[in-house]
Amino acid sequence: MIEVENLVKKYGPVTAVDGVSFKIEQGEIVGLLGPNGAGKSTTIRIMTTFLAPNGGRVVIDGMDVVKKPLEVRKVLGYLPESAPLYEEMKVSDYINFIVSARGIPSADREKLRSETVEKCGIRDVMKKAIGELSKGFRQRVGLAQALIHNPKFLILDEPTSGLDPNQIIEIRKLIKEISKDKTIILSTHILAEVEAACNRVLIMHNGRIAADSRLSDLQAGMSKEAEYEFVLAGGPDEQAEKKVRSIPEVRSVRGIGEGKYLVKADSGADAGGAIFDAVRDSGRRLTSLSRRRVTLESIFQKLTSES
Amino acid sequence: MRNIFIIWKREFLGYWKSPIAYIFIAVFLLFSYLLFFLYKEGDMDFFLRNQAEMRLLFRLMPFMFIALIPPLTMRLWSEERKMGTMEILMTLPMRESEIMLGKFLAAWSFVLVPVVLTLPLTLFVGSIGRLDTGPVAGGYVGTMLLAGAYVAIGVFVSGVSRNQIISFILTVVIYFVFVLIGLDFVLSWLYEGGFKTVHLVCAFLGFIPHFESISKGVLDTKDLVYFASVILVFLVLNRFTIEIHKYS
Repeated sequence: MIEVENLVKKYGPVTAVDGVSFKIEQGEIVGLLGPNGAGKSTTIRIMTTFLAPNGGRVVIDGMDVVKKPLEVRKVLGYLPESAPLYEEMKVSDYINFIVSARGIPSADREKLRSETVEKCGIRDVMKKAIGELSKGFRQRVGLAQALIHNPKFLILDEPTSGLDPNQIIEIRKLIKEISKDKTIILSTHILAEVEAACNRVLIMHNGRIAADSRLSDLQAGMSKEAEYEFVLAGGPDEQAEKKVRSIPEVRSVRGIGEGKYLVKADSGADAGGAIFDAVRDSGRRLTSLSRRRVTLESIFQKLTSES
Repeated sequence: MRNIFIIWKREFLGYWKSPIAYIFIAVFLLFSYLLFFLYKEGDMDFFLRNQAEMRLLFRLMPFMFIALIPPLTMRLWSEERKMGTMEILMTLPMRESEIMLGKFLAAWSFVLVPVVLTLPLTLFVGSIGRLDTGPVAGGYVGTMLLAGAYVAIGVFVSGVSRNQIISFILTVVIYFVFVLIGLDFVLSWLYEGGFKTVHLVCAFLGFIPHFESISKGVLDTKDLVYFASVILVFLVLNRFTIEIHKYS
């Protein structure tokens, strides 16, 4: 379990982390979400013992990160932002360095090494210098580095930033695969990432926690209102608009040009069918009708735009 | 101990992958071998003096080190910080002091590589004349300790500044001050000028007086303690800056 209590970190006059508290249970995959500069990386750096906090505490697996940094480091795997690795080293040399630096008992070495190399798909690049690798492979080597000692906790800071769409999908798949028996914290400012990989989301804004909830609860809670969008064939029409407005569940209808309308309705019943009928009754035809899904984007924007 | 060795190994082997390392060794050897034969005392060069001694080689060391050691030490911390590799390094299950000692020992041992490669020169001189082993052994011990002091200072400065150029300049300046205050003409100028206390402090703090006394073949505890203290002080300062970075 990871417990963060009232964490404060100041850089000179700037307060980067301002009283952050949360708890993460064993086996959770938590997305730490927030705009750039929200304090995600700073929080992570304190959790990984790289920085010391100005106030509050972090307890990982019952060990305080300030009082027992060595013990904490043993149970953690950490991939910092943009996978900083020694460019001039060969991948195999680097992995060997981490294996010995991690103090992995020599009996387990070979097994853990080949398992990790296999899992991260870096067998083919073992002989290459890290500086020659593509961004995607660098990230894999970075993950291998974080995974090799089979840590209970895995902390990944922006694991997919700077990757192309194919690489992103591969890294996500990899994270999913290793997530089976680990507690993972994954920081990102890409919302799709959280939706794809996590079961809980922490949203940070201005150094504070703006939201902390299960992904499903968050989406449900924000969607008391359902939004529909429809487009009339042949441009806007007052008659059709009036008909749609008269549907009981509909709260408002707003024309947004070129025959496109935005409808807000109660989320309980599906108003889609009623909208379809209303438009047909008015003698017009629809070219499209869709329900807007409440995305993490909209929640995120809502939470982080008001400062 | 094991952790220190792991860090040492990575850093020491790492040196061999950079061109700076080879330039360092080449320039070091070129200067030691050439100056040893060409430098004239009065108007006598090595062959005219007709004396089998290595004094001149060792006398060069404090000055060669000023320019040659900073390129080896300036990157030790600042590169890690700049590239971000510091974050992985400092979250390995090792003590900060172990990582620091590994880096320090790597640079120190690398500096000693070309020093060892001057042995053929010594053997050559020994083969054409009778070398007095005392000063030769003392010279090598002194060079080793001097290199340790230089490296400890360089590694410390590398931890202070993220910018390698600033590290380089700052290191050279510190070396220069430590060398300058121990030079004969500075010391006698201070003495004759009546700055007795300053003279004593400078004679005590400067590299050269201690280095020369060891190079004469006299292993005085006072000089050994001096070099050990310089190394220790800068390592402690270094450890302290690592801690400061954690809190800032």
